[in-house]
Amino acid sequence: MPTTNRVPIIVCLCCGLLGSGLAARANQTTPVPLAERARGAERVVVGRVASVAPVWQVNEFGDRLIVSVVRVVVNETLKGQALPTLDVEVEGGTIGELTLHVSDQTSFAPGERAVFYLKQTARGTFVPHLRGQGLLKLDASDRVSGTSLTLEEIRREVAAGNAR
Amino acid sequence: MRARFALVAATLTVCTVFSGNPMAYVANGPTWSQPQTSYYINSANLDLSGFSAETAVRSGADVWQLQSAAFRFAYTGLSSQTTTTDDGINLVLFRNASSGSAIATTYWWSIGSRIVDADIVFWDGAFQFFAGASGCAGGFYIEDIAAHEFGHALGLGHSTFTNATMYPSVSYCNMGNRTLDADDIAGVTALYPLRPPSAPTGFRIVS
Repeated sequence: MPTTNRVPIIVCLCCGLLGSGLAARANQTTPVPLAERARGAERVVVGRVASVAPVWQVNEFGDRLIVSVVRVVVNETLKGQALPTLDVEVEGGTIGELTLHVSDQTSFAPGERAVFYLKQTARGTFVPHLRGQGLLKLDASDRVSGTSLTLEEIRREVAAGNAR
Repeated sequence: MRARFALVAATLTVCTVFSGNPMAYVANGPTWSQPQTSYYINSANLDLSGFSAETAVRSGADVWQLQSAAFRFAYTGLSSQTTTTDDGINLVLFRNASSGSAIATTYWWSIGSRIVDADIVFWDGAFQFFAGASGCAGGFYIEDIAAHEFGHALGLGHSTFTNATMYPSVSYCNMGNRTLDADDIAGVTALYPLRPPSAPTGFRIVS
């Protein structure tokens, strides 16, 4: 079957691209290869966080949570329709003295850059595809923080995912 | 499909072993004001009897006390609550939904440097859960997932030690998380230092 035949390719890509840290950035998960993340996401953008606005929100399950609305100035659209800015809703944040921490999410501060793998909710807002695995912060040298994975490698993976 | 993911996960772990930059545990910052807290379980789930799920969750919570003696999760009882929020009730529940590739998620709330609430959600719609130490196929033992999530609930982040319970990735049917690594124990005892028995006070020599 094609799926079975692709396993060694995926494994090689993971070994070559992920280096040491990427798997360690996620929560207790089954890590999803980058190309597969890209295929599953409706949009993939590289952008800088302009602002973070925490709000109270009740999710589809009835949980009342703090959600941070992260405004992203898009520098590059790797997949999907290009927009100059996007609002991404990420669980967790601080309102007043109260902070919600979520084990499989990433918190953002203005000025930080990241690759965002996104999907659109029924409400029309964007949330990370695969939760924390859809948020890859970049350092000053355009590597995913704490890993050897480069933005250029991510670009190639997204392009490969788009081509399949 | 599941076999493929398992292979990828296992391979990632191997990659990390060979290329990883060793680091110790990570403390998330806030901690409980006391080295213990209580919790409830809503054991309704898709895979097991409620009793089996309850017992397995409790086993996962108990590893922190039994193996480190630094922190105790005190089981209070069953709950029918199905939602989480900052309500002062620490709750473990199973949810018939998926959440990307996350097996479980811990939500914890803090005010300043103190944790005030922690809830754990098992994503039951995405993964099959098992209990005990045999019979698992293409899923996860609750004991091991719970041990990791309770680590978050007490204030630990992810470790980059692949043998640590607080390592973020796990392979199918893994039973390693239920045994704390030295790194996990170092983490929890750093957050909640073990107190030596205090010397008796108020003694007077009466001659």
